[in-house]
Amino acid sequence: MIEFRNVTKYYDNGVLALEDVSLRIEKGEFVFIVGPTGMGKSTLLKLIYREELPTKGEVIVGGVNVAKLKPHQVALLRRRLGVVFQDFKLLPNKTVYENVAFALEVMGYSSREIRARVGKVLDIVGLLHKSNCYPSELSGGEQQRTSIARALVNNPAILIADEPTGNLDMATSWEIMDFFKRINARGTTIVMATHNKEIVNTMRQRVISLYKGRIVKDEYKGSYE
Amino acid sequence: MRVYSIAFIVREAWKGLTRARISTFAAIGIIAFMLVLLGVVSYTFGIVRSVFTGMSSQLEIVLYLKDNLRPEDREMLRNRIVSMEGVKEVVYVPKDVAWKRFKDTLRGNKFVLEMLGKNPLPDSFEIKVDSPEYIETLAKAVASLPGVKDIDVPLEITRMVNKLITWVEFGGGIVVLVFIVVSLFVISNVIRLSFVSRIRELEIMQLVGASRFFIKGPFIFEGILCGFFGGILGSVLFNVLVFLFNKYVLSSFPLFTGFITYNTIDLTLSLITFGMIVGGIGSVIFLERHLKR
Repeated sequence: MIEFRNVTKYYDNGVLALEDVSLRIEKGEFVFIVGPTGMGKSTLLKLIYREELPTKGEVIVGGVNVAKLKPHQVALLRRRLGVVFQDFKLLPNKTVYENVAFALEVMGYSSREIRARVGKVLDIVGLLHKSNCYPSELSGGEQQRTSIARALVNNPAILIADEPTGNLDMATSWEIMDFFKRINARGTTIVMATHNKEIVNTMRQRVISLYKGRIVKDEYKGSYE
Repeated sequence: MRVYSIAFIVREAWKGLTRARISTFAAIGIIAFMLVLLGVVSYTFGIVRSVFTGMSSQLEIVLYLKDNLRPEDREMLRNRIVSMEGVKEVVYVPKDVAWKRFKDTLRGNKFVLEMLGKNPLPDSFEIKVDSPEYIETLAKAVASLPGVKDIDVPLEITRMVNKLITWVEFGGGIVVLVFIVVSLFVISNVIRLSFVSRIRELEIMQLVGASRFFIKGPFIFEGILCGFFGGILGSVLFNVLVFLFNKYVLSSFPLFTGFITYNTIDLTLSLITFGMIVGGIGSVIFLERHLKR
């Protein structure tokens, strides 16, 4: 599903983010990318959704080398992925409903299809009653659930989450992880960067540890340490 | 293109325009101001040009005819002149009419009239031209025609007016061009800056897999709408200014008003179109700078 072949990434300012990283993530896996801040976790995720391009090596997503995609193909790739961020990345002047619907509108769905899908996904994340609220009127957990709803509304094959619990308290974080487990159980591949030890240690999933841009550990049913 | 895709673009552009009210008003205001300036400069140039060409159209060649010219020869001469290039009109002025006009201009100056005694004036043709640049060549061509006694050509004035028109066109053209470039720069930057707070929106659109058409469409349309409303506001202000100028300033110069044939409809439409085009350009510049490839 996702494959890194000897990937090295230097940023334009000369900073080395990843060095000779090779890994394979199969369909339906739940993978934690862990490591201290600045060790390359976000870069690894950005390479998957092609926010960044590798300096060396290849990143293959769904059988396609992402470096070779043309702009319109990048858009198509991203429609098959759902991405969730620490800072939620919601549009402040759109309601919960509109934020989620937006992802479908830009793909050219009809308004009837949009209504049906958005209603369903908001029900799943438990936010149907807050459809008309603006992000500023929501708690952190609710905002993250909105962004998860947006990521899921198109039934993506892969969900990428970059520190999704970074801004949330422990109880809310567990709530979010509960969603992820359920989504994963339905067959969606999840790749999540985090430095929340408790979550990683409790979930017992595959754990890939990065240190100074290199993979230092890759364990199934692993832990943070 | 599906109908709801177009509907999405129109709806998003309208939302963008109406929700950030202060920055939208500021942008529309600045666009209107620039367009008023551009309108006033173009209008002034148009008026000056129209006054000069109006004045020059009053210039004419007067051809004095020999006393014993038969009416049929006179008619032949007239036909020959009418067929020449640049001739607009040839008016026959019999000596009696000329004398009457002369007496009218000298009314109250009996001394001169008494001195002249009977009518000393010959019959004449007044030749009006399409444009003052024809006067000199025409004068040469008609002076030697049979039946012509003498010719009166306002050569000095013609040359001066021709020179002035050239300068007005050249100078005015440059000033208008400079204003067009300045407005282009200011308006496209105003649009670009009014979008800066929405770079995040652009980023999110790309992340959820929006095609470039869906990302660019609403922004470009919004820029065009902003330019359109700026154009409408600017045109209203501009036309009010022109109205006031005509009413209070121009009316004090009745000599000029007769020459001014300039209307503001074309200019108004041009200002609105210009606003829309430049608004669109501003959006495209913003997108080019902030949209990752």
